[in-house]
Amino acid sequence: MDMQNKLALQKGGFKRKWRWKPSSILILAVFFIFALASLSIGVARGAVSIPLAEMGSILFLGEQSDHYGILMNIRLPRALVGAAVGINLALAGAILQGIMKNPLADPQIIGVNAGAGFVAITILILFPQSQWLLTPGAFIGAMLAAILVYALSWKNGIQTTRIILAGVAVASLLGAGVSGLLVFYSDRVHGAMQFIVGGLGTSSWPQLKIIAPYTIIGLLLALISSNRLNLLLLSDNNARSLGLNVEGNRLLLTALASLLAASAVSIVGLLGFVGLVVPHAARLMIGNNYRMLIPASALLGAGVVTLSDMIARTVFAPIELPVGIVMAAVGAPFFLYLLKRGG
Amino acid sequence: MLALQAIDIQLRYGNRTIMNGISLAIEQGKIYTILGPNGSGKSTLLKALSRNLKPSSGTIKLEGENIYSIRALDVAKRMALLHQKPQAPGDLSIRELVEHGRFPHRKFWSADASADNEKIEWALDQTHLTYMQDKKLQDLSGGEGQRAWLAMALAQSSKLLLLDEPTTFLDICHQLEMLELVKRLNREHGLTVLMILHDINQAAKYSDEIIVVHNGRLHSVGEPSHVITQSMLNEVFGVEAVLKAGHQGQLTVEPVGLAGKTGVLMDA
Repeated sequence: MDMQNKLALQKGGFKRKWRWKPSSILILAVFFIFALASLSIGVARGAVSIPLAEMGSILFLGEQSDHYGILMNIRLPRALVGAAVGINLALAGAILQGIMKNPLADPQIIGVNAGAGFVAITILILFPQSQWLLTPGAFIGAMLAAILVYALSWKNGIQTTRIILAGVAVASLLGAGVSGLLVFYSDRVHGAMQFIVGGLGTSSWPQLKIIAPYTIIGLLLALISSNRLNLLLLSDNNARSLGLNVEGNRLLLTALASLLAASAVSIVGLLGFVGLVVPHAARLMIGNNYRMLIPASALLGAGVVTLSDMIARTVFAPIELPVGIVMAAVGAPFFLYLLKRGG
Repeated sequence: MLALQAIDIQLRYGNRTIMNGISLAIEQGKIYTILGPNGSGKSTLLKALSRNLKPSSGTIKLEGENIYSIRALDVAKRMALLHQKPQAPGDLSIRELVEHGRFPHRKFWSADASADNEKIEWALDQTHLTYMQDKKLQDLSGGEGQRAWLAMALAQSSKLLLLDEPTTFLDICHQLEMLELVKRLNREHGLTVLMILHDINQAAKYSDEIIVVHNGRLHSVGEPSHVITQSMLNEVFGVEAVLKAGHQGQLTVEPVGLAGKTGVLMDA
C-alpha cells in the first residue's frame, strides 16, 4: 500500500500553491462575457435599434447623437435595473440553497414574494392613488414575512425542514389574502397584474438608485461569506466542530438573502424564476464551491434577466411582454436540458 | 496539564438524564478508548467532551480551561473531531475538504497560504492521500472517504483528536489501516486520542487506557489488561468470554455465549 502510494506520488507528484484553478478562471470569464454581451444587446436592441458604434460613442464619449435620449433615459437604466435584479435574486437563491442544503430553496421559500405581493397588491387595488407606497411597502412586507417565517421555524436553532414548512404556511395564508382581494375587486385586477408577473416596464434611474446599494453591498458580503457557505454545506456537527457558529451564520445569511430578494421584488414585482433556477443552473455547470458559485450566479442572473427583457420588448413589438413570462418560457427548457445532461 | 477533564458532570436530553456523576481525566500523549454497549451513553459522553452538549451540572476543562469560556474557533484549534457520519457535497475534492480544516486558523483579511499549505500537505501525506488529492468525495471508497475526513481533522493541527466510531463502516482491512494511522499519529506526532470503538480486541490492542461506560455511569477506567476482565464483560456487555494471550501475547477476548441475565433472548 505504502509503496504503491509513493510510486503514484512520484508520477503525479506536484505542489499546488494557487487555489484558483485556471479552468475556474476560464469558466468565470465565460460567465462574465455572457453577462456583458447580454447587457450590451439589451441596451442596443429594442423598438429602435442602436448601432454598437453609436452606442459606444454615446456611452464613452458622451456624444449627443440621435439616440442619446433613448439610450440614456430609457434603455441603459432599464438594463442596469434588470442586471441588478438578476444579481440580487440569483444571489439570494444561491445563499438560501446553501444554508438550507436544499437545491429547491429560493427566495419564495422564506416568504419574501408572498409578503411583497400581499402588501403591493393591497396598495395597488385598495389605494391606487398611493403608488409611491408601492416599493417601500412591498419591501417592508417582504422583510416582515421573512422574519415571520424565521421566527415560526425557530426552536433551539433552525431546522431547514421547519423553515420550508413555515414558508409554505405563510405563503399560503398571504396568497389566500391576495386571491381574496383579486376576487372582490376583479375590475382592478389589471393594475396588479404587472406586479404579479414581474416586469421592468417602469424601471429607470430612480429605481436603479434604490436597488444598486443592495446589489453592491450584497455582492460584497456574499463573496466574503463564500467560505462560510462552503462550510455550511457540511453536516451541521462538522461545521460546528470546525468552530463555525452555525446558527448565527445561518441567521445572518438568511437576513442577507431576504434583503437582496426583497429589494428586487419590491421594484420589479414577483419574479419567481431567477432565484430558483439561475443558481441551480450555475451549480450544474460549475459545481458546489461557493467561491465560484457566488460570482457565477451573479453574472448569470444579470445576463439572464437583461437578455430576457430584451426578448420581452422585441419579440411581439410593439406589445411588451412582462420579463417574467419570457424568462420562464426560455429558461425552463434550458434548465431541463441541464438537468438531463447533469444527471 | 491534562488534555481534557470532566469534573462531576451530569448530561441530560431535555428531562431525561443520560449520564450522571462522571469524572474523567485525559492525559496528554495517550490513546483512550471508550467502550460500552449500545445505549450506554458513550456517544453522549463524547458529545459533551467535544462541546456539543452542555452538561446540566459539572465542568469540562480543555487544557485546564473551562471549555465553555473558550471561543468555538479556539476550541477547534485545540481539539479536532471526526464524526460518525460526516456529510459533504459529493463534488468536493479531497483537497478542498482538507482545506476546510484550516478554517479555525484563517482570518479572512490575511490568507497566510504558505503556512496553511504546509499543514494541508502534511495532513494529506499522513493519510496517504497526496497522490489522489483532486479526487472527488463521491468517487471514494469507504476507507478513502474516512481517511479524507481524518485528514481534514488533522489539518486543524490540534493536539487532541476525538474519533466517534471511526471504524464502524469499514471492512477489517480498512479498520486496521485506520487504527494503525491513529497509533502512528499518537506515537510520532504526540497527538492525544480519545475514541469510541466497538471491537474490544482492537480497543485492547491500540489503547493505552480504556474507559468503560455502563448505564450512564463510568464502570471502570484503566489499562486494557486491568479493565478488560471476564467480570466486566459479564456485567457490562452481558457475555461470557474467555480471555487469552493471542499473537505476541496480545490480550484477546473470545466470546463464548450470552451471560445468564440477558439470556431471555435465548429462551424464546
